Amino acid sequence: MSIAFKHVDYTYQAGTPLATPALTDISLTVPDHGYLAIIGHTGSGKSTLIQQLNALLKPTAGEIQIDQFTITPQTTNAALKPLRQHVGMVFQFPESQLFEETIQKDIAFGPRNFGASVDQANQLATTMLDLVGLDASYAQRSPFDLSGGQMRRVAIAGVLAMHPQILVLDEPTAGLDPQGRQEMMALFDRLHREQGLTIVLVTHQMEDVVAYAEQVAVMQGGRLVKTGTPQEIFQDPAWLRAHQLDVPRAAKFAQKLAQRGVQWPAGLPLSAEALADSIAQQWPQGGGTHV
Amino acid sequence: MANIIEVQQLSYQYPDSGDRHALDRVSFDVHQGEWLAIVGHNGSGKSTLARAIDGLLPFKEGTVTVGGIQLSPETVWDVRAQIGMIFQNPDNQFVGATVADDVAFGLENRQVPRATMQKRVQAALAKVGMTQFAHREPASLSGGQKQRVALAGVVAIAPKILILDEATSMLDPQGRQAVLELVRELRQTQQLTVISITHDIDEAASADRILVLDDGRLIEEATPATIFARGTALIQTGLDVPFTVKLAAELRARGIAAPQDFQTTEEMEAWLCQSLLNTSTTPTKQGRP
Repeated sequence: MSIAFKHVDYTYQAGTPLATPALTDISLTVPDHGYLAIIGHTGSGKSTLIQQLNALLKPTAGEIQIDQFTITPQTTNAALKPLRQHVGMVFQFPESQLFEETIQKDIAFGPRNFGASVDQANQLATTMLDLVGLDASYAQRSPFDLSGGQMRRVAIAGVLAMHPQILVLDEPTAGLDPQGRQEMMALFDRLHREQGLTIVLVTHQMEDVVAYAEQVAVMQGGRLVKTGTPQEIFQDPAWLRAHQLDVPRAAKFAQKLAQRGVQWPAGLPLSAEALADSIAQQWPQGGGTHV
Repeated sequence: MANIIEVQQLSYQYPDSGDRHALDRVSFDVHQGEWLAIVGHNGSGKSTLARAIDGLLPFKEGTVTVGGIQLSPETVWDVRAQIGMIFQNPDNQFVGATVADDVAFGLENRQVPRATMQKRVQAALAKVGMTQFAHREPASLSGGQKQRVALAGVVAIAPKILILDEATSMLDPQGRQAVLELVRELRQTQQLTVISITHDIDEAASADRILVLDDGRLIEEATPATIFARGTALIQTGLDVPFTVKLAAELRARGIAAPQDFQTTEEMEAWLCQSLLNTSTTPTKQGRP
């Protein structure tokens, strides 16, 4: 098991008059090399939840097991350095964290802090640049002359340079153009499949959840209200809407057709591909495609 | 229709960018009252263009004329007085300690008397549905609420032109819908001309006309239907492919051809229902015993 939450509570400013409960009784597990998507309305606790994963916030009650690490309310910060190398966090708009004068130095900064020599760190920077799809000519340029999408790749390269086993992504494609979004999601998918990284993705893009996630967790009001595969979660559009969540575009379209009498025996199709498959199966044979 | 903005042969290079032009001889007009979308992939020059129109860019080649006034260091304030601009990241544009203070900022700069100011701030907040948040800290709002407050700031100064620079790209789907709905309504009630720089297909579909930028050049100008008919190649213009186009491509790969190049959601729905359901009522295909 890669990640296991056991009855985790988290309260902001606990023990003060301003105490605000943000997570209540969260229990969930992610298998080794899993891909979990966390969805939920703005303010539902998604970001608070993922900050527990590298103990930026520690639980006020309960316990979190992350591979060989255990985080409890008593865990001290000194014990956390190896955990933070193990769990790579890509925050929203990670490009705002770039600061070095060259791209190479920026990517090498993390490994240097974790004890790599200058040569090793620079070597790593070159490898990581390539991994995120930027060629070596970028190494000596300033990260601030890049476009938004490129800056984000550099920031992600900096996280990957620490060789994390778990990659936590908080809306990693927000603000990118559609092509950039596709490329970014394909990159994470490749890291997941080829290097076996466990991925935890917070997103509002339901199409991405359908296309990539193996497991979905739905948050509301600081509680985990549903878990399941994308197929299970998205079968009930009415439930999703009641929780202020979007329904994948294909499912919306399929539902409209269902209201007019079309049947989906295998369940609501969730992607354009699945929808086209179902339509093709029902298509009148030899009846011509005109109407 | 009269032109409210005229851009002629506008070129711009960022310092130290070699031969690369951020804008390369761009010329176009914006008609009064229209909604113009500007699309293009990241780095194509869209935001640079918006900043040039608002006098935020010291360009040396070409001209920009807004409401009959040619932009120059002397006229920049007269040009800006006609334009309200909303940026991508709502957190980068808040100055007030409360929502109401923030909306009042533009009016304070224009030295509007206090009594008038209070009325206009209240009216603007009411217009965007944020009255109950007037005394809240902007930081405590959601992204969609923040952009609505930014829109209230624009409503309060009643400009002729609203420029949205990827203003919905950081919002969740509900927030995005709400903001677009509001812009559509404001456009009607305030007689606004809207320029929206966007990657969002719904936002581009709201426009009367779309300009496509690529590497600083204006490469196309057309209606949304013409642009959307381009199919899966749309992604190269920095737009997402509309769902109906994706589905049509998947169906074509399975030997099912749509009757026309581009169908709206409703058209496609009608076509599929008719094709699928007609058959199920013919005697040979009847599902019931």
